[in-house]
Amino acid sequence: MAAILEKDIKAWLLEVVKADELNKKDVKKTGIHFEAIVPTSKIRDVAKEFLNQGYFLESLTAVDFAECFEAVYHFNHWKELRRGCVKILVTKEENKAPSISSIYKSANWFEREIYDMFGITFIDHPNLKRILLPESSTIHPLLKSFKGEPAGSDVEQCLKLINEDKEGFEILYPQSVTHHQKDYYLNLGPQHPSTHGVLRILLHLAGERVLDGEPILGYSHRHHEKMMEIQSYLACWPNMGRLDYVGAMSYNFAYAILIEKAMGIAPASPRVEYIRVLTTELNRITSHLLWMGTFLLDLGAFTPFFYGFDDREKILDILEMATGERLTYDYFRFGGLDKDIPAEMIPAIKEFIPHFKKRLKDYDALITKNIIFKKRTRNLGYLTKENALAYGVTGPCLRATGVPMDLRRHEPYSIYPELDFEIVTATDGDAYSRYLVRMKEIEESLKIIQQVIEKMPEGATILGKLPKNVPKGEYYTAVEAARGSFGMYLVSDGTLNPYRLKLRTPSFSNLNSIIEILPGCLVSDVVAVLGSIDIVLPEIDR
Amino acid sequence: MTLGPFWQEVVKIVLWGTFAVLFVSVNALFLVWMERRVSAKIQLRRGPIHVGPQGLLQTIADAVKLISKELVFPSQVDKLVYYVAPLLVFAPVLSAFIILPLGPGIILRDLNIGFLLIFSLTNISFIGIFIAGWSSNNKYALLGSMRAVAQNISYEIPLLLSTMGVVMIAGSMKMTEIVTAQSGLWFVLTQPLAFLIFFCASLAEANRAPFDIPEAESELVAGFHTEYSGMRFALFFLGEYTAIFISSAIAATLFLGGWHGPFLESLPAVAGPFWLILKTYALVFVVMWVRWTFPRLRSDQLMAFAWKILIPFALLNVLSTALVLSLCK
Amino acid sequence: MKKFIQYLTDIIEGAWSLLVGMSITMRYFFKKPVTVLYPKERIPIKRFKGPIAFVVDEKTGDHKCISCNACIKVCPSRCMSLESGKSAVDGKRVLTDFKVNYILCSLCSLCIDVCPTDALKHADAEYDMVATEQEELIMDLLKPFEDRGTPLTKIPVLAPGQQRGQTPLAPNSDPGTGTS
Repeated sequence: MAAILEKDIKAWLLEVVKADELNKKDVKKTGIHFEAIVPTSKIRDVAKEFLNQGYFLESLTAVDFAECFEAVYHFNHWKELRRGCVKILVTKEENKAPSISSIYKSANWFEREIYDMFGITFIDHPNLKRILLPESSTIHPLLKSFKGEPAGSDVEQCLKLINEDKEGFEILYPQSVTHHQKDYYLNLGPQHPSTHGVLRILLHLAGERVLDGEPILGYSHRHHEKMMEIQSYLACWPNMGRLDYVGAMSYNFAYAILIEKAMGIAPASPRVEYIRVLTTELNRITSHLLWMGTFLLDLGAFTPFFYGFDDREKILDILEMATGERLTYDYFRFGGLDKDIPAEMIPAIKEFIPHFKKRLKDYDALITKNIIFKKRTRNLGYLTKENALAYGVTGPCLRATGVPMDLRRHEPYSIYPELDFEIVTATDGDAYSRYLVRMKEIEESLKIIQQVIEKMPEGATILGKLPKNVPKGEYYTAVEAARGSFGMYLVSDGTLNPYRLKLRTPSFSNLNSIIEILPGCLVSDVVAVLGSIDIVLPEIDR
Repeated sequence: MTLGPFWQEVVKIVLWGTFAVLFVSVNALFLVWMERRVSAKIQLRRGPIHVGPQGLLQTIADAVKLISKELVFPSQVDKLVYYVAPLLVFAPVLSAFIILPLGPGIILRDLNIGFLLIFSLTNISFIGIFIAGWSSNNKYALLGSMRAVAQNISYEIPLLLSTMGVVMIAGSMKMTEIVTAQSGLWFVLTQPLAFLIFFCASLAEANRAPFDIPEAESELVAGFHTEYSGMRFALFFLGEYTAIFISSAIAATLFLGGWHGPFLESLPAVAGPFWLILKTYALVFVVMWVRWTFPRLRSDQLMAFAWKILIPFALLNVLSTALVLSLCK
Repeated sequence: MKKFIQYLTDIIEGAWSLLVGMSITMRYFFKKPVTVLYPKERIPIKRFKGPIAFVVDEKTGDHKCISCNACIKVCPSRCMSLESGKSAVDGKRVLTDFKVNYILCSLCSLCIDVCPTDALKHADAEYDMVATEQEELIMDLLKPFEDRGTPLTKIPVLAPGQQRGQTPLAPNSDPGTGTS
């Protein structure tokens, strides 16, 4: 392929691939630069070309329309926002599509999820198994024809599941039957003190060295995406808090921005934006403190957990003053907030910040410089830049490999362009750099909070009248959550409920990259590496 | 009616044995309470304060709970070995009371191999850990016990080498003679490096953080005692806490002057044990302080620490002590 | 030789970092604990969302609900239910029953937001909201008003299918029980 200028990918799509349709889109309203419908047979060439140009696969999902399925590929570039949407139409009779998992490694799990939820098989996929539902289920829940009855009676289904766990394990993984050789299988989880949530990793070990590790998901699957299709837009607010319960404000933020962009309304006043940023950054600090505590707990140091939680409790008290909740926030509304912040919140924050800065110095001396901690996390769990982009890793894990992609600067939203903060990167991609990036991010968030408090204007926080419905169309928004880029893709048909709302959660792709990191580690390292990636299971399983 | 010398010895042994068993139980109770309170203070919490004055009877309540628990007996374990393992872990530590000098002349048997007896017998407790993990028929337990064996073998060497300097200066391995040799200057001042090495190595021998890989709670669920519940688990626990106490007591005797103290020398029967206990518990406090501060080392880093750092420095210590002693002669 | 010096400096730096760490934990050893001895000491709850309750209108002392069902439709957990009947006096909608299943409530405040008359609010949260039966946590929002005998609860309600002029049911009784 001759060298194509980056901006001319649209021209290439029209002429060479002979896309059926290419529409330019208003990136401010819909979040994507262009949308192209390409013939199904050409999707592999399209993916290869995007890979050559340095794009990464941000999200891959499917939508069930009456006439056909649409498989929607979102590509984005890490240097600047160049989100393009490529679609292929899959007819219901054929129900097959070519797999791009050999080109983009992140597509592996995305395609498995589409197979699980819709039933579309992908040709040449190396491992097309269900990912979120159990292996023995026969339903495809996200189809519009599925009304909620699982196949077979409850007792039958339960017996099947029990069998699957007992004997089915050996059928699905025949190599796991003990045969007294050097290698063996060990299940890390689902009940384990160190998997952050209910996660099961099937480790293939030789002695204490890991040969292979396969995460098995789906233990906390509550199917938010279907829940949101049968509720009205307003009723979807509590779902946002329950996805990533540790850093729930960013999820609220994404939903608010998405629907505001789609409806074409602006927040009630600049004060709303300032309060949103203030609470989101406070929430980011609590999320990183929780991560730090549990990471060190996995490594065997029990005390930083308590110190981190002490600080976290103070921040939660502050946020409770504003929102009335401590963990699963649903504080934002379309065009504003649920209620305004009380007068005592800002003095409380002003009192908290110097105390917290002293604590950060203590963490630095107790943990960052500690030789045992360095030995446990340095030169461990390497994630290279190429692998990170191939798996769609975002957030601190990506920034620790050296890629300066932070959505607050990459795809600016709200008042972040006016605030002064740096994007924190590190050069090695090991667990220690991920730790350093997150600790530095706490300091950057403190900087942002101080600026916001000084500049906070007065104004209204509740928008009175809202438009009745979200106009018909497709919209994509992404924000920088504590774990990475949280994206939401909305297909709206103008009615009261969303038609399809895809949640592109960061931990899903971050966990996918563990397949590359694990081989070669020891069993103790598995826990350290898993902790350093910072996953929260409910947002992976949704 | 005076008893013959044979019967006097028998009475002495019986008394000491009873004393040792009672002391071990009470001490374990106290140490568990101390650990919980120390860790709570470090972690800005309170620890047990409700049961009994200052929560001292909390451990008794926990022991009653453990005894009343169902002894879960997994069906696939190797039965005889599974039964015997906790006993093997707990029993040898009682042997330390044979040679512990509580005061001038207060000692059960002043053996001329002294502390070497303890270290040989505690190896039996490691056989106990090994077979506990093996018999449990559980991969996690197996991993834990394999690591424990490797760890024990590696750390025996610096443990003994570090004491060689003390033996050279005191001129004998008898515990009483080592203590008398410290009436002027404690050995911790002339052998600081040996003290540190002995301390680290005894932490590793007792499977305490930062060397607690065999029972790493967050990695291996509970390591080699995953499959034990109720009283059997309590025996492992007792063994570990008594091992800490014994190592601290021996460190106090070898390095910190044993039963010597700045005052109260006029009442040797009271002052001796008092000072020994004080020094021992100070060291136990340091052991707990270390546990709650640091993360744990990985098993291969543990081995590297023993072989690449502790053993060379212990050898260096022995050589330099020998050099200095020969020069002083 | 360089490697040997590196080895020694590593050991010294490492040992120093360990000592610094230990000094920090020793400093925390002497600080006051931050925990609170619940249930003897309680932290006052400032603004935590409590169970849903009716707002008492200052002028009439009554509730403000007009049985428009907006809260029922928006609730994502489907935990609210209401029943209403026609007043025998002037044919208007009168609320006869309003229950919130607090076990399902996710405290999202959407019902409070969409209510056109601002009839709902969060009551004060308590620490000790426990029950041994599920029925105890199904809150009857109308009960405090019925106990006080406010005017709105005393309006006689027609049974479904009854016309005005026929004998109405006793005030706010269950309209489904049958004939008068």
